[in-house]
Amino acid sequence: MNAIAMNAARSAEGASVVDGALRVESIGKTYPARGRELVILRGVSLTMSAGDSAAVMGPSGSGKSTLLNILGTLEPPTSGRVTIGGTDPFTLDERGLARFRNRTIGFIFQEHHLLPQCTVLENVLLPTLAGPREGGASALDRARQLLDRVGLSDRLDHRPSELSGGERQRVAIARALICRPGVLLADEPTGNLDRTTAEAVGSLLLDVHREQRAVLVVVTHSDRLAERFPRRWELNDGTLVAH
Amino acid sequence: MRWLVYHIRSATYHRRTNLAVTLGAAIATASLTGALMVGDSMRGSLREIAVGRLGRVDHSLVAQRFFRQALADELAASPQTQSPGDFTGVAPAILLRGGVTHAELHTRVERVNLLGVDDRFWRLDSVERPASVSRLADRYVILNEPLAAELNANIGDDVLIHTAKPSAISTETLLGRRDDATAALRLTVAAIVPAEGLAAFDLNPRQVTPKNAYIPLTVLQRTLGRQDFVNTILVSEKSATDTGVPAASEQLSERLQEELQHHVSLADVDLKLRLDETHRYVSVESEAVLIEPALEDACIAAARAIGLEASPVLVHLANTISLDASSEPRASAHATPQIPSPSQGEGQGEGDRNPPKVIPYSTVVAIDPNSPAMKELAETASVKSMALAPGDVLLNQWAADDLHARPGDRVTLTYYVSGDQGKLETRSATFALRGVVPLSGSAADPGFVPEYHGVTDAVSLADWSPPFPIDLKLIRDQDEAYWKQYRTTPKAFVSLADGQRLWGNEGDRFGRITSIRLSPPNNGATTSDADPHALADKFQTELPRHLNAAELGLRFQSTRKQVLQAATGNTDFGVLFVSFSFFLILAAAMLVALLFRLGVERRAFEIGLLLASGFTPRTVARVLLWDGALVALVGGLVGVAGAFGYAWLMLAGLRSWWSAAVNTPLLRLHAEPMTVTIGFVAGLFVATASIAWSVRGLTRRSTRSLLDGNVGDSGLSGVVRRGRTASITAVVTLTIAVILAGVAFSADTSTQVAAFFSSGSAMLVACLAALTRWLRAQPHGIMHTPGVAAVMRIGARNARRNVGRSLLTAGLIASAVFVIVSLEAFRLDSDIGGNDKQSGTGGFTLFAESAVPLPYDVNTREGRDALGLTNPLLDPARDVRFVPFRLRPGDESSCLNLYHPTQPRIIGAPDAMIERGGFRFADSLAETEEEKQNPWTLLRRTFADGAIAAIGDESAVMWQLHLGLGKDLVIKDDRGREVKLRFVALLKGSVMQSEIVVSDAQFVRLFPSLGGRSFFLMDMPSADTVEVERTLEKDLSSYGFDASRTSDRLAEYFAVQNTYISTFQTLGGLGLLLGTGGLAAVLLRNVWERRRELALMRTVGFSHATLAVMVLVENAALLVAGVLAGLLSAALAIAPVILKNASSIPWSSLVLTVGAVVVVGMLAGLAAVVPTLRAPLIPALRNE
Repeated sequence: MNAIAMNAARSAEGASVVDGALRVESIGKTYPARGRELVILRGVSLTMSAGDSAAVMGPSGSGKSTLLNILGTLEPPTSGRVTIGGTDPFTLDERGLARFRNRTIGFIFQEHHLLPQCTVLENVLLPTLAGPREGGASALDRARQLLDRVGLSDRLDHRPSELSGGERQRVAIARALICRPGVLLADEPTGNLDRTTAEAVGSLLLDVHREQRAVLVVVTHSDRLAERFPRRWELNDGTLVAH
Repeated sequence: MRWLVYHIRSATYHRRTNLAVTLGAAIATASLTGALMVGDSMRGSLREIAVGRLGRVDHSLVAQRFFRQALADELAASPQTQSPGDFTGVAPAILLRGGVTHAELHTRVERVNLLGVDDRFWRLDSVERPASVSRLADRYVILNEPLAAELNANIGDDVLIHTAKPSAISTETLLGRRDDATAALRLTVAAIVPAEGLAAFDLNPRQVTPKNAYIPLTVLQRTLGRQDFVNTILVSEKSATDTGVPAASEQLSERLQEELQHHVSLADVDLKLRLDETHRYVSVESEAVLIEPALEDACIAAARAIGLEASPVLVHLANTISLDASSEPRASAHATPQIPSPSQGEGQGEGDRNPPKVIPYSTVVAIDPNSPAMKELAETASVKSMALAPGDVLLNQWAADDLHARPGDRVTLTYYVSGDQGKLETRSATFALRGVVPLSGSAADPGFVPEYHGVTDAVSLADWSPPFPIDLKLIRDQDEAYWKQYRTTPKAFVSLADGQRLWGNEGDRFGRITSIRLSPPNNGATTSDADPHALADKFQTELPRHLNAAELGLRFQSTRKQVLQAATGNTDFGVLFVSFSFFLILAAAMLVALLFRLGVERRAFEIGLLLASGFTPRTVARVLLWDGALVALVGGLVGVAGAFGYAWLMLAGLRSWWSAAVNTPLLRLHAEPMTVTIGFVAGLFVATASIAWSVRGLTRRSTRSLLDGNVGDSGLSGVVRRGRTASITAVVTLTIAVILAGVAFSADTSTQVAAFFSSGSAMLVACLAALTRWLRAQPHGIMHTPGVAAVMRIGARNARRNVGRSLLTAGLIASAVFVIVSLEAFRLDSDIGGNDKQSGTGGFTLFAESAVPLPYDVNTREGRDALGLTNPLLDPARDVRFVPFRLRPGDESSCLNLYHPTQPRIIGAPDAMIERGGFRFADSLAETEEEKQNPWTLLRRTFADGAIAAIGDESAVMWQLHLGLGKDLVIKDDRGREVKLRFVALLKGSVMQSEIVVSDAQFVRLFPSLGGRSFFLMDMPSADTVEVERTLEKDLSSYGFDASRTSDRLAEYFAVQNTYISTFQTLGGLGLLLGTGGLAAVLLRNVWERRRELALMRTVGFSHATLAVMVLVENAALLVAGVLAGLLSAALAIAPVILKNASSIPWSSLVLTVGAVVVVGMLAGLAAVVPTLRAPLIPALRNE
């Protein structure tokens, strides 16, 4: 299914359509350190369409998280270009970039980063507070749907401290999807989980990504998780190599 | 989810951190609001005190002159005071100042308010009084408690009361009774009343409770010889409340004045009419003998208005009348028919060639040559020309015969004139004898001379009792015979112009005539026209229309309104205490910022998450700010409650430890709703601003770092750059500090303090810059040698982990120590000067004030003899010099008076003082070299706009009067006219803070009715001071003489500023301690952040004790760095004080303050460290 059809399908759902087509052209990333430059990424390029998924692997310090942060517009590349849905987000101003990130990108972190003072439902709704005010009721419905989808519909008013690690990560997945992003980025989503939970979370991630027709990029150390992805890359010495 | 829910959830979840932030915000709000409430309390208390002492008195008339008591009755009976009129009570009274002495114990109290009152006075009270008070019997007196306590008097004890004896005749005129200037009475204490309501009555508001004695009105009137006369009327307004100002107060005051104008009569202005049936005229005369200029004008205007001739007359006493030596002796041309001529009386025949040369003690009349009486005299004297020209004299027949004088002879008169301070001068004038008048008609009228008790009523010349010496040996039988037959009939007549020129007083301040003769034109066309009774009636009816009661000193004031204006005070204690509390507020704000920042840093991932979720940095910052504002709001509400406690504590301090600043225990807590609101909003602002400052830049950190929980500094290059800036700053400011110190050493005293303080400030900045440089520097060397030194090096190095935090805490401690210690440079030392003429004492050892103006010159032997000062210590040869000043009593303008002075005390400096110079000047308008050498000469400067040159103390002029050099103070003179006093020079740190100084000449112009000298500065050998003070107070007790040392007075003034410094230091010290608490919070945070490292160090073998030492060294490094930076800088700032008088610095309290900071800081650090080090090891390693 091409991108236009996918967008039309999403439109039919009544969702805000975000074209998550991801194109990375020869990006590099360096950091200054004691009079010399530290090269983290060099000439990384990739292209992914809606519904595609990929796992990025590599040894510690190889730049996996840096690549993810660039794809998530959390930091700009030193060189090269990134476009998502035809837009180069790094040409937007601060407000534009924030809006772009809010609508286009969903993050899932290893540490889940749920707000301890908010309930499960509220944690899922958090990204909607940065968006436009309209659609408050629909956001609530969607949040409930997502939590139902991840199997936590009976834990809506529970606090993160009352959930297990896996349950917290499922909440984080639901939060990442609340704004129907075109791109889903997960940094070691199962890194803190036991094997069984990690399997479940991994499956959930792949399922919802497919359902939502988003681009999914996962950084992981786990071979088991990585094997489940149709595309696998390895970052080695700053270069992305297909696995 | 609504944002409000989010904020509330966040606040609740992070309640531990937020509680500390709330506490910080509460302290900031409590300090701010509480300080402002001190201002409310001060204003409210001053208002309560002043208004309470008025009872229900709203308006008052207090005059220099005495007027009919019936005037008060007439006002009370007028329609305005009858129901439903606007006034409810009118009370006559006598208000004087004097001294009271316990008859047995001999304790003496000066500057007592003496009130002659009856029951009408007590009906104006706000406190119910028993009949024993309101209807006091004769021979009794009521004392208020402060007076009784100081006297040590009880009910039934006898007291002696001394006061000035009022006389219409000024002691500065020839006929003024200098030897009868005081009055005394002995009374028994009937009651001692608490000083509330009218028992503390005082029209001059001041916070010190007045000492009052209440005497039955009739008793005081009798003692003063002024039966049925008073000098005060008090009026109560119907619509007045106890504390408020009646809305129409000013208008009602004007109506009272109008009503008074309708009732004022001749007797109220010391005038009287004498009817002469024989010569058919009415003579307007004055109890003061001389008729003051305003009354002269009014009388003449009134006379003209009803078509009468008004002839002014001036009478004087000639000590001798004699022929000028150039006149040839000759026989008498006319023998006096009834009184034998001296030659005949002595058996000598006509044509004797040795006539008597001197006629003693004769009245001489100066009269307008165009007046009817003068025309008649000229006709009878057969003077061909109509007018008696200046330089001419007419003698009566008796005198001409006695002197064997003929027209053309030259006649010399000798006479007294009254000089300064009772000095009598004998002068003479020679006239050309124009003619001789027979002793008939106008020439035989003794009525030219007004009544003067002791002279005009004397049986014989020898019985005269004038206030000047007379030589009885000069009086001859014929002189007594003349007196017996003709009494005061004048023996000589001169022109009015000559008389006023020869016998006038300076500026005619007391008047230039002794009577005005009223007669119909052409001496009366009809009998009725000439009837003196009819003339008198017409004149009495007409005169009040031409009198201006207000200009004559009978002036109602809206007293309650004036008092309330004064009660707004000079110093805004609210602002003052906010500045005193500055460090407390700053420390609280710092604590709020620090703790909130620490809390937010713990939520770094939350910030990163929000940014990653698409919130803009600005939105995230707003979220944090609202989180903080909610906490600040709660803290503010708590702080408002705490503000009452803070204000109460400050007032308790002002009543006790800091009482020297306010001199009253009567302070009560007041709080205006607006003040509480302002304080709350200000506290909220401070806390919120601190929070905003603390989170600045946080959302600019990389999202990735924030998600990792890292909010630290940026990369190494930034460290290097900022470290370089710090180095440059340190070098530059150190250079500035050294240069300023060098300049300061060579500067004059007045600028030295400021220069050293600036040098110290620059040094502080240099120290902090150096500290920044050290904190930002990369560590050198490798630590490889185990031991305590290594542990300490690690600890010190840890201070560099978070440069901002470390600098903030050390900087606050350094700044607080610097300010608290360096304030010592501004402490004023009263133990300076001594006999140094250029000091604040002007070289004077004592200053004094007398309730009764001294009528003699105390610098002359004659003056001291007249005053009864016979102690050899006071011999002028012993270098005891007095500089006497005239005094217009009023409100003190010094820092000891919290009330705004509406009528400041004014003194007149004699030429001797102006020539002498002395004192230190802060600034002046001096232009010429003479003025610069001696700015006192500026008092002689005149201004085209009529302003009068004045000198005041800089502190009083700036802080009490809110004026400055070259600015004008508007006052009212004796006649109620507004006059500008322009400050031409400002004294620095002088003993004259309570007075405004003008020249003596200008004083006399402004207040002609105030005679004598009441204010004195004295210099003498220091060894004599105690004995001289004691002697003066004892020997001049009847004048209410109260002397004090100038150094004691300076100490009182300086105590106010020094107390303010102490207050600032105390509150600053509290702020410093609070700041030390912040240091503990920083340490706790640092330790928590490093818990994994510390756990690791424990794992590899470091003991708890070693780790505690390491952490405490980090704490100590910042603490000691801050304290040392502050002390070093402060030492430079107070270098002048250290060099001059190191022992004057309160080392113990400073050491205590700084020591407390160090100890509390270390203890707080220890309390922060111990629990963290004792945390379980494994969870710490796992970062749980």
